[in-house]
Amino acid sequence: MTEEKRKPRIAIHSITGCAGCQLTIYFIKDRLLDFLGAVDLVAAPMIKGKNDDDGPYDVCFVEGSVSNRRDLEHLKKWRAQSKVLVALGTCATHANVQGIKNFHDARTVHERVYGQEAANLEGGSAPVAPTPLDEHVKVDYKISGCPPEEVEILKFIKEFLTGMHPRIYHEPVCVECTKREIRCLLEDGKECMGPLIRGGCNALCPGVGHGCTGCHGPIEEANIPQTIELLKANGVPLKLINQHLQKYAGLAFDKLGAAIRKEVEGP
Amino acid sequence: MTEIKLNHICKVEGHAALSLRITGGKVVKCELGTTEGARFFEGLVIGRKWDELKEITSRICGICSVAHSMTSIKAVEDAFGITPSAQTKLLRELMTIGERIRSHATHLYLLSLPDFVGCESAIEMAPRYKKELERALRLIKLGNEIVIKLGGRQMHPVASVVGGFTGVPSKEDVACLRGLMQTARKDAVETLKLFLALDYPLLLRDVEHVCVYQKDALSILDGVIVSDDGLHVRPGAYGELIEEYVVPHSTAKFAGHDGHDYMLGALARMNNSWQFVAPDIRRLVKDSKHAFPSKNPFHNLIAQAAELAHWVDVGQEQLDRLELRPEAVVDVRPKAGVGVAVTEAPRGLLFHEYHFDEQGICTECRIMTPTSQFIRAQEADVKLYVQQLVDAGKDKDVIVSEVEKLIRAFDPCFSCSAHFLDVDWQES
Repeated sequence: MTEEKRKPRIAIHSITGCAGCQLTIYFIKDRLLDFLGAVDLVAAPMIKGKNDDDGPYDVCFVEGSVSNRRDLEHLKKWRAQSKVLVALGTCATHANVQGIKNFHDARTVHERVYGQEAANLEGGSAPVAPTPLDEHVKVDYKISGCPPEEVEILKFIKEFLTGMHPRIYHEPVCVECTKREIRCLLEDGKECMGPLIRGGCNALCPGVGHGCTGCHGPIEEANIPQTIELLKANGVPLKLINQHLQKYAGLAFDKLGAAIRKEVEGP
Repeated sequence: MTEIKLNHICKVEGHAALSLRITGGKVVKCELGTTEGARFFEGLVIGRKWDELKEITSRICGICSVAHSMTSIKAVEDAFGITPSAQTKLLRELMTIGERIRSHATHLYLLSLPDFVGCESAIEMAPRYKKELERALRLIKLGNEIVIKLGGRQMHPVASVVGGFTGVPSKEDVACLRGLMQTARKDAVETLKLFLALDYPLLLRDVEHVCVYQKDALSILDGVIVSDDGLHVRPGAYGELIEEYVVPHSTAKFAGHDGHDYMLGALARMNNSWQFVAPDIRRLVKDSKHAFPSKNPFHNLIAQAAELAHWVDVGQEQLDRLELRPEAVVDVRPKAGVGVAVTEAPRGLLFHEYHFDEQGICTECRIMTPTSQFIRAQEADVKLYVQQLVDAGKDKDVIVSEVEKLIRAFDPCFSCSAHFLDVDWQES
């Protein structure tokens, strides 16, 4: 007797973020219905009314960064009930722009928005330093990007469904720029973070004449000091370079030893 | 409750909770609020250079990143006294139209329609409503492609910058968009017919409807602010008009105007600018059982469908006469001062205000998103609707599903969370 192959149980959950990563999945143009047919989407609160919140899940995609106590509770629960946990998007992999807060005085930032009596920021809504998922739980795969690329998500799903160990693209943006024969913006005297940043986007922004802003987060092997020298030579002040490094993935760049923070901000 | 007239949280889509208390057949407590983690955008941009603001603030929302990006750019240009070229204005409008089509199609078909056909999701709808879903996906694809071809990417566009565009779409790109437009007109009209044919609950409350207004066309990026209660102010004066305050049950601030709540979005736009909608679309509505102006929040769905058809028309016209030439981005000279922009995002009026020092570094910021402005009206409508349902003797399950349906009809930026609305039900 042959047993029909069980469809994988997939969950798409979110903590603090903008819902853009989930939307990238739901915007998968001509293939969305194929994807939905190949899996059992058991939880996806953004588009489903009935959700299995208790798992187990074969794969759980989580978008957003841990930003309050409630986020942390949810994340731990999902981790416990998932075989594979995927950090989807730069909030989940690197804390994204809300992580800028990590380089400011938190109280000042809170008061700027809510005033001194922030009674709404208590209990589950009490802020936690904006952090990527892997600061709190084990993460099996990371697909960064703000938003992550449709092709990367599709490739991951396809490889997973065919029983492979999904491989996440791991080259700097420059590789794709070279492939596409895009004129180097740094050589043109402009601002571009490409040499430091993981590609997979097919050099989207340089492709329309805009320097890479770094939304995929760093590539660990990047030569940070050399890129900083190139940017400085193009007239980008060190303070601004530091702000660029802190914009999407400040915590990761700090760990990679971007010593310029000390130089700019003092010890 | 403390009244604070300061900045507020920008991020509201995602997670919401509702707390209701019914005593002796009366709704005595109804609190709707966001539980989404605060991201503090107005604090994050302080100390940042003018050219990064649209990039950072577009991350407030994945569903309406174009709207945030455009509003941010316009506010910076207002501060520095920059007038963009006619071509830039046209491309910005077209890109905003693309996002509008995508956003409305997503909300109408994937989020709200399941409520009216007895399904828990669009996925459950798929076998019986394949034609409708394919139509939705075609419209979403069109909107997406417009944003990609003009903005360089699907979300958080990069090609549109302060002073212009870093690159313009190729002839092939424009031809591709014209091709996708071929079926869009029919799809949009079918969408309007579908939503005109649905039955909506009767829910009427006298609330002020506010939107951006132009005297000769439906507004999307420019205009003054008007209401059906006689409001008429320029964008620069809008900020002072709105009082924002913190409520304990919501991470999004609440807002009021003259001490009362107000409604925004597609319904407010249709109510105030109905005469500017294309005549054949108006005729379709006129021949149906529905009409504008309407104060029924469920009719926001018809308003979105009518608007979708209108913008497909305008988009098609713009694409047909689009002749692009490469244009340099305006040379930006920062100066100290304040810049304000008010636009119509898919969910309603969006406000960005920045203060700059002479180097163009942001020293102060205030952003008011549509949902944070209409959540108070939404809470009041929910309370009224629950009372109506209780009076009609409906049981808890019906009330919960009807309330979810109402919350979704507003198309709040937390529509996602309204799908797993955490209802704290207390009855005594």
